[in-house]
Amino acid sequence: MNLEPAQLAFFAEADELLTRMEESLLGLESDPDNHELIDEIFRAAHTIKGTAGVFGFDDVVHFTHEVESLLDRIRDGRMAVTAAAIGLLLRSKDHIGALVRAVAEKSELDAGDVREGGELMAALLDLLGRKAPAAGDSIVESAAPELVREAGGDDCVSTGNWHLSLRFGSDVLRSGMDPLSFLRFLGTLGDIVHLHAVCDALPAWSQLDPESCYLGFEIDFRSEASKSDIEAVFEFVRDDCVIHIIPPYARVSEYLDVIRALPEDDLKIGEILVLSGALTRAELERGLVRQLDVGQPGERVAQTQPLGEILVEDGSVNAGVVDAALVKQKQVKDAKAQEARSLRIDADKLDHLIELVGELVIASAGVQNISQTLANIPLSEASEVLLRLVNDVRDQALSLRMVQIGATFQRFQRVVRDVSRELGKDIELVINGAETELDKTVVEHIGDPLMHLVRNAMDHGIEQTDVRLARGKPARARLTLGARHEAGGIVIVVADDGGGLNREKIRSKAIERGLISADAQLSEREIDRLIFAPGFSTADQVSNLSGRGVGMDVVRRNIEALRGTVEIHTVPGQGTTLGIRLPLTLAIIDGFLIGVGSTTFVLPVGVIVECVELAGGQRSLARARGYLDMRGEVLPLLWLRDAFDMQGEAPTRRENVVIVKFGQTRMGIVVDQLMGEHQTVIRPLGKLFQALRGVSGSTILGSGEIALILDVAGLLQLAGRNEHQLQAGAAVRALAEGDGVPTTTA
Amino acid sequence: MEIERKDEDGGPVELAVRGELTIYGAAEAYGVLDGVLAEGRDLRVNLSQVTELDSTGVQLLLAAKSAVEGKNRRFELVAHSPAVLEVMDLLQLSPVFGDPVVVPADQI
Amino acid sequence: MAKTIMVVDDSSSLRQVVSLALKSAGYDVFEAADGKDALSKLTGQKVHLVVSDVNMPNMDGITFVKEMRKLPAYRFTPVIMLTTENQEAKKAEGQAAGAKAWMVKPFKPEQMLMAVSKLCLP
Repeated sequence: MNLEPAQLAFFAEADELLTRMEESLLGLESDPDNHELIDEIFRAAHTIKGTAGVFGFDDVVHFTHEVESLLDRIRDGRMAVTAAAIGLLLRSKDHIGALVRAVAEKSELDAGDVREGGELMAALLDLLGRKAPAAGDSIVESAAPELVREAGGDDCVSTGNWHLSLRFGSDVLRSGMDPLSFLRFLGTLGDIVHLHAVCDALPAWSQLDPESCYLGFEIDFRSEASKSDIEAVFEFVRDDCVIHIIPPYARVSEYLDVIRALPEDDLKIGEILVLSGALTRAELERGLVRQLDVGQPGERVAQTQPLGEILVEDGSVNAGVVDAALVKQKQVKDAKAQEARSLRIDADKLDHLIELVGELVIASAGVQNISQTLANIPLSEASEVLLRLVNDVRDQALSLRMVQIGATFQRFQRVVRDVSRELGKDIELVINGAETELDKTVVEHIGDPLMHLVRNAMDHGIEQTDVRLARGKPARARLTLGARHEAGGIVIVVADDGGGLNREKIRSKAIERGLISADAQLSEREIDRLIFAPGFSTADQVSNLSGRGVGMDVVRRNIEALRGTVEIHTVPGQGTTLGIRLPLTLAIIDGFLIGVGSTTFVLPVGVIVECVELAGGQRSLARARGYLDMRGEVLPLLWLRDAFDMQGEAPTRRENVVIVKFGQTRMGIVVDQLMGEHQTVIRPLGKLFQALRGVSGSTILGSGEIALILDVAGLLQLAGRNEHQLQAGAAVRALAEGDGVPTTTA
Repeated sequence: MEIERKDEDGGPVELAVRGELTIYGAAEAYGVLDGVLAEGRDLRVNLSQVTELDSTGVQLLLAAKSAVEGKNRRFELVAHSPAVLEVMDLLQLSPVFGDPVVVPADQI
Repeated sequence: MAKTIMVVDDSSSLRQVVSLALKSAGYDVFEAADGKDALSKLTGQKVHLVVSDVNMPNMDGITFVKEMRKLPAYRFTPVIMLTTENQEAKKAEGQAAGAKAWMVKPFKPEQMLMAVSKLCLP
């Protein structure tokens, strides 16, 4: 068949269509709502694509298809006619021209055109909201997968026959579809060995509609064609007819072989059967529809009939073949079970979810408040259930953000290897607790402080190899990174087996830097903590890595910004351990409400040890001493009213002490009232108040009031530094009086 | 399509179908047959001049046969044209109608 | 007697390819450029099958089929509709108009021949 003249006609036609397309596009620029122009442009692309495909000019088809898709959206009003869209379409039109020319001249596209094509394709797909051409998006309806079969010579005689059971729909004749035509065509694919016309549906003469179809056929058919080829014979009437195609026995064993040889992909049972050729796609669809239909409305859907059973009942497929497919499926599932199942989710979406959960928590707390006020028992019960569910949702949502810290730790393998070489030290990194989970945000922020600590430990903590040997230590030093959960938080440990802190050196350096006075009496712990003081560095020489005097101070501040603390524990000659204590999440805490005057504060429940009443003689004694005798232990007290310099008098009868523990330190916070637990969504303080000690954030109570969240670490410091009282007190007053509450909203 | 009626004395009514016995003429053919069936006589259909036969034609013949035989009358098809034979052969209908089919010599 | 097929498409080169393929298989073929042209060419002669594009100027394929079905001689003529838009809405509209068989463009000439053969062998 000589296609040359037709091809030449196509090139001329494409030229003409493209010219018209250009004119219409330019017209559209001044008249973007002109539907005739849009139709004209669409039709041009449509015709070029359709015709190019007939000639097999796939590049033209492929590109024009996307142009057409875009035009289709514009035509449907799903996309606006913008100058940018017109610009893109004009360029696309030029590119179609280039593609057609390349085919006409039997030449390759030049590099510029290839690049232009790539850019245009990307822009088109972008507008169409697709990333890359998906495999399933092929523009030509893909035929069912063809399986290469060995034509089995003499075997085909003994393979037996297909059996076709056909019942035609009553309307087929009226639309010009004569069953006889299909049977004649079937005859071209093989031999109709036996045909039985089924006339049971033929009504009595008086009921007969001569234009309706009542015929059915049972056919024994001998053919080497595949099941989908045979089914395709009836493709035009498939929707109106009942068609069963039962393969010959020989085929069944063939299907079994194919199923066993399928790759170990995660396939549904239906897919496996279709791939093997035992089931056609149409049969599968029908089976799936039936599976949905089987459950009567109102009936429990739990007992859906397995697809395999349905297909066997339908006669679509042999029971043995289904069994083989099921075995295959199980193998694949078993293999898959080994692999972790996971889903990638955009972090922003997750953050938004957490935010919403936060709002939900607040709202449900509000509901609970109201229900308690109303003293309506059914309402209270309902709100209890709601609260419990909301808590579960919160925990689940927060757990979505939890990631293992292992990946962060692993990054240090390389760091330790490189740095130890640089320093000429032999250091091994030991990681434990890698599976410990914590909030993704925390993980993201902990990297830098950890890097500082690790480098510091290698640089300052761990001795040179000769020193180690002289001290009787193994030449190879050990640096440990560990993590564990503890009391509602996480503790990350950076430990080395180096020389430990040299307290004398620290002390003299601190005096030299004016951080402490020469005669200051400091405990060992106080001396150790000096390394976190601003502007402190003990390195004898400023190395490449650390020792610039910014390190530990910055580390501490970073950690505190995460509502964490850092502890240091050192044994001279044996090593140093730094413990970073962090909250699990930054978003929500279980809070405990306390009241001073009319102001409400929130304490994280995790830090509270117990609450005691302070009344009578004990109260005045405590007031005078500044501490409480707790079962023989001295418990320093902080009067919150004083600490924040708040107005008003303490209640006359009694006050309450909330005993908090942070790290190794205990302290009693004296407040007016204890108001119970409360789910607290943390809203960070505005920038203006970030330096504020003792307050870490704010939250909105169910009643709509604002409460400040107390920062226990900050309060502990506050207890020791009264000079901050004025400053903090002024800020708290400003906040409590609603003088611009610094909430950050999303 | 045209249908010509011949009445033999004491014998069956003979209908000779000329042209296409297809969906285009199905309604008309049904009307003609309906009239004849009402008479309750033996029916012979002469197919010698049928140029095309489709499913509607086959259905009409099958339904007419069972209607006639339901009244204990005889129904026969005679003088199958090549177009009719092709369909009879495709659908393997000869045993269903049970009429002797004369296959022209040049088709054997 | 060869079967007669009418090919309706606004792309003359597509008509040429389809005609060529069908003629070489033994069909009689005549062409029309759009729905209006096609209607004017239906003058009572026997047409065994119509192959028609959907998207055409002057008169689109679906309107054409609706009009054709009003002519007694073509009430039951089978139609194969050609479309690039694999749109269910269009398809439903077309099927209601009496066009049951659909083919998605682009297709290879052999595929067209195969589809035509299912409805009428030459």
